[in-house]
Amino acid sequence: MSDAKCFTRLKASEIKTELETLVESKKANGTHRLTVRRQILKKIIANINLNNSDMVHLFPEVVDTVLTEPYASDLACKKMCYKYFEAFGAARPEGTLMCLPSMLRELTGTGDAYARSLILRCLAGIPLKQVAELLAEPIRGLISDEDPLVRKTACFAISKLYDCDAKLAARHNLIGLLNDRLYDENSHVVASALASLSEITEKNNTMKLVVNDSHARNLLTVLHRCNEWSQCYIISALTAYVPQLADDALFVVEKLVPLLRHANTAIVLNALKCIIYLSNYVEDITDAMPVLPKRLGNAMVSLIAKQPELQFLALRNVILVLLSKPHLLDLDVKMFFCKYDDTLYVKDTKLEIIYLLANAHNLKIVLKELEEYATEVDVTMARKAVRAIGNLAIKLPRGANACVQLILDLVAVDLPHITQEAVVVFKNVLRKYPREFDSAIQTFIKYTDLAVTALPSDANPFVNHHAPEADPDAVAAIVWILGQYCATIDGAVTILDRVTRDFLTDTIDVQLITLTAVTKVFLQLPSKDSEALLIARLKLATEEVDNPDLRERGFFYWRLLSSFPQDASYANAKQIVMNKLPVISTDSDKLDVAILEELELNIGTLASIYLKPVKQVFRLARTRILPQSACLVRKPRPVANDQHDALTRKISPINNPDLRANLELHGSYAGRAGSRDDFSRSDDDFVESFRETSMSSSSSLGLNKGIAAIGNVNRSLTRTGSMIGRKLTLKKN
Amino acid sequence: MASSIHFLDVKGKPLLSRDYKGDIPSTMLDRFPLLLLENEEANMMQPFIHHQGVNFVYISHKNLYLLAMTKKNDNVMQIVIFLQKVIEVLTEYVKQLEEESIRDNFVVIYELLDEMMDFGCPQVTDSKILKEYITLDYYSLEKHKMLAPPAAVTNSVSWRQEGIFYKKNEAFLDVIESINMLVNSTGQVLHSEILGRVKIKSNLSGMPDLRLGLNDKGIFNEAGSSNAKGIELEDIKFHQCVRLSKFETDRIITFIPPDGEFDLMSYRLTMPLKPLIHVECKFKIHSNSRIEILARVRAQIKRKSTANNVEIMIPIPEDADTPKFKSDGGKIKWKPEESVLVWKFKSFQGGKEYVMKTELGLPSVNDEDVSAGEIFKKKPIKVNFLIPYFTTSGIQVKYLRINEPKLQYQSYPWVRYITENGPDYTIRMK
Repeated sequence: MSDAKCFTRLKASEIKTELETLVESKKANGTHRLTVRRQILKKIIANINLNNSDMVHLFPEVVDTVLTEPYASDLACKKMCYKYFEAFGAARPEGTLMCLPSMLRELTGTGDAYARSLILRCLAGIPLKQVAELLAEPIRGLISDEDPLVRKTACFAISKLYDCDAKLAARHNLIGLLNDRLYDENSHVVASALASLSEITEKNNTMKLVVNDSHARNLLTVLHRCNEWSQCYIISALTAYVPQLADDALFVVEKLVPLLRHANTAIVLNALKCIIYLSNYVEDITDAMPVLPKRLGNAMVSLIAKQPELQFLALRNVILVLLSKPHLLDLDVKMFFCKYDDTLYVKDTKLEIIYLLANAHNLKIVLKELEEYATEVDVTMARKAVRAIGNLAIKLPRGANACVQLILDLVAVDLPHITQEAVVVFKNVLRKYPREFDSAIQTFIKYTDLAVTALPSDANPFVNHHAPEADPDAVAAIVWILGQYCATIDGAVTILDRVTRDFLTDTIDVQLITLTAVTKVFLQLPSKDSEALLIARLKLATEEVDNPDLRERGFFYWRLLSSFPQDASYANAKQIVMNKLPVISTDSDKLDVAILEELELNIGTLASIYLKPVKQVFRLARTRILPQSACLVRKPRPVANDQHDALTRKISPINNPDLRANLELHGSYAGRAGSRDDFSRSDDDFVESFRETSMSSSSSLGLNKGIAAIGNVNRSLTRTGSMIGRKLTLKKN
Repeated sequence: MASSIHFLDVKGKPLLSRDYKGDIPSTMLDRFPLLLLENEEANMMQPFIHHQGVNFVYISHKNLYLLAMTKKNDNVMQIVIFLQKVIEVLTEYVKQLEEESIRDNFVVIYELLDEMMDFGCPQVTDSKILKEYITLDYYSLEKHKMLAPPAAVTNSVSWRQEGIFYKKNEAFLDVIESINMLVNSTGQVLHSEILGRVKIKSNLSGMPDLRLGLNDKGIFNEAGSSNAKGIELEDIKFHQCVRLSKFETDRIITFIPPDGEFDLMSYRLTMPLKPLIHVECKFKIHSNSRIEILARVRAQIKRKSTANNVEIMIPIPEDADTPKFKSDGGKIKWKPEESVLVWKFKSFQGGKEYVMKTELGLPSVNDEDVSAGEIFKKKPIKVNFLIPYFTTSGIQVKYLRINEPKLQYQSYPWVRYITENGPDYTIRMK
């Protein structure tokens, strides 16, 4: 019989009439009554599912069902009535309390264990303080019931009661009851008590789950005697165990390693989390267990053959471990090569892993693979691949040549999106190796038009209708290169003029960078053309732009160049504008240790996919840190906070822009934010927006220091300068 | 753990919900369709959604979404695995899990959800055990007898209940290997792996203890007796019934099997392989008129072996039409809706080789955008096949000992070997 027809919206009164006719009908026998009653209950449940709140008016009828035979002893009827109580019990306290005595009687009776566990599950699920109050006493008996099923249900019931009324739970020492269950003879009950306890301690900041030595050993023996979910709870609970001796930690790890072979992925990942956690308490775990990295690596790789969602989770956690404990994962980069059918998010994550795993030995095959992605049809993927190649150039100085060569080859393919991306990464490469690739610059400049392709060309405004949108990042990069390296580029002034022709409609980032670039060009190649270009752009910036940051920047350069009329070669201005740029780097060790440590303790959780400090996503969550112990091995904190670091932003290898932003907030950078004037803040906006669009490590971040330095040197100038500036403009007009 | 579980249709409209904690307002669920849409537009960089403090963890199954919502920093892996188990279990109950069958069986599904999860924590997800006390038909029983969960729910052997009886005690073993391979256009193998699994169908009485012997190098070498021909399985995953610690210390696979069918173990091997079915493909585009495709396929397996149901999918330009085929074996079909040619062989003997030539017309007016015509070259050729009585890795079942301490019956193990293509058996065109 199909139940689908129950899914019609009914009014409570309609069901009432139906029930009344059933009661009045004389000829119906017992079984018929039961079938009809069941059918009516089904309709009610279906209507609850349809969010029909009218059903709440049927409370008396449902109570009646539970209290009268033969329905009261019919399991099917009962289950549906309990469902109803869970849904509406809290809304109708009087009604609930009415049927409570008989339910409690059955609950504490000696009847069938399953029936009792059903009642317990239902009653504890009603979020009503009165019900919790009445349950608090009987639950003491139920949690030591002779049937393990009832004990198990009682464990979770306590968690529900705590959720409903924490004070009540404290008054009746329900937590203590749960603690006692940790020594239960039935392993399922132990696991349920642990699950319930960790649920409770997570909500309460004053309580903490502590697993001591003997208990940990006990849990390990129990572990093999329960089902897969119970195993999950037990392994999770083991992360609350704080070993006092390295040998104790090793002992647990050895017991957990076999679990890496479990078919249930949740167990594998939990075991990985626990092993990684315990490795903090052993001086050098790979010394004691040389096979560990291989085992962990294999365990993770085998998850890649699963469904995309699971793959993604596994890969995300691989990234996490690679960032915090790369020596514990022995992985072959080839395993992470993308497959044609992979979903985009899987490809994206794999690409990050490829980047992290790339080293001098495997660079050749990695580049070959990245080249394959870069020429893929999917534009997003292609862009990311190009970016990854550029980032590798910065990460591996010895491979930089090969990377740049590949970028040049890719640019020659002549596809706008590749060229745009290539320009951006090439700029980063130049920032890292300022003078090594001068010869390549000329090649790049050939493709400027492609990079800024969406600027409609005057000659034929219709040709480009297929062209992708102009990429402001690419335009900004090309403008920066033109400004910085104008001396090595033929016809730099003309090109710069053409590229920045639409100055007024460009994005603010491009506009700011344009001002710097024209100034640089003017200082390095003083000529009539460059002067004309400079004046044209400065004039636009100071007179026709509403953005105060941009206007101020215009004034600033103007003043800078006109402040020292006696200095014909602009030595002062040159020193300021052409200041030596700091070298960018990709040191991953510079990530905040505390945040990595926390993420590491959250392997497998949601935080591991967002790759953000837990507090940022889950405000109420507790910050987890490695508990102190005699054998805790702390990673040395990176040398941070010296003058240099305070100004340079480190590039993190993580491709998630949010995380990078967060990490930096927590890093040394935060302290500096307040001390900056408007001027450098606009650069920050530039950097921020840049960062959001770039996949990884956009080295544009490094740009900041140069500009910030200018900001610092000239702070005095800017402060007193505004008056002069105004006069200057007045004169020009 | 999860606060609630929802079944939704393809548009995100809720079909059935079970709220375990009541800490997330139902209005959040109403936003899901919109969030889903947004996430898709934003290029799907994450399979899950975070919105205003609520996490939407979901997987799709046919035309359904199965969604779990949570507010806490939960173990998301656990949730996803649980959702998959829900699908597995429900499929066992209703055969086809879809909108209609959910509505038709909603009461039972509610009951199952209650048994599988309590207060957001997964409990029992073993369909064989659940079927013991939650059944589809008991609503039609006239006099309803009390069905209670079997003792297995809280036993140390939670996947098998006592008292199973078969007249004839048999165990069927299938060793199935799927081959994933990536070959570039010059015939060079870039990546190859074997994903194997051992499936068992157990029709055995009582509580039998099984011991499986394989010619795995790890298993034999470390146990003392050397076997030069043994192979090493790189990563093995076992069903929960296998005693993992026993395997770790003694390299012996021992277990009490669940009743009926289950996957005992899976393994992975990355070893250099020759393509079993090798395809070479060349194409020539005569601009604005036609495209010529020339392909050669060879079965590089033993002469005695035969590959069945060989299918070679060759991508072609989307706008190609009027195909003309010529081949010395197999059947060729043009599937315009997928822009592929499918070259089919019912059976393909080892060592044989076939050639085909296809000509397709191309529109004379070409799209301005050059890259559109070139896209097909980026798609790889895919190959499907199935080779019975053969494992690529050379893995063999040496023995399967069955011992039921109380009943002491005679039993018959049967073994079958199959090699097939994996989901990624591909050859790049360019």
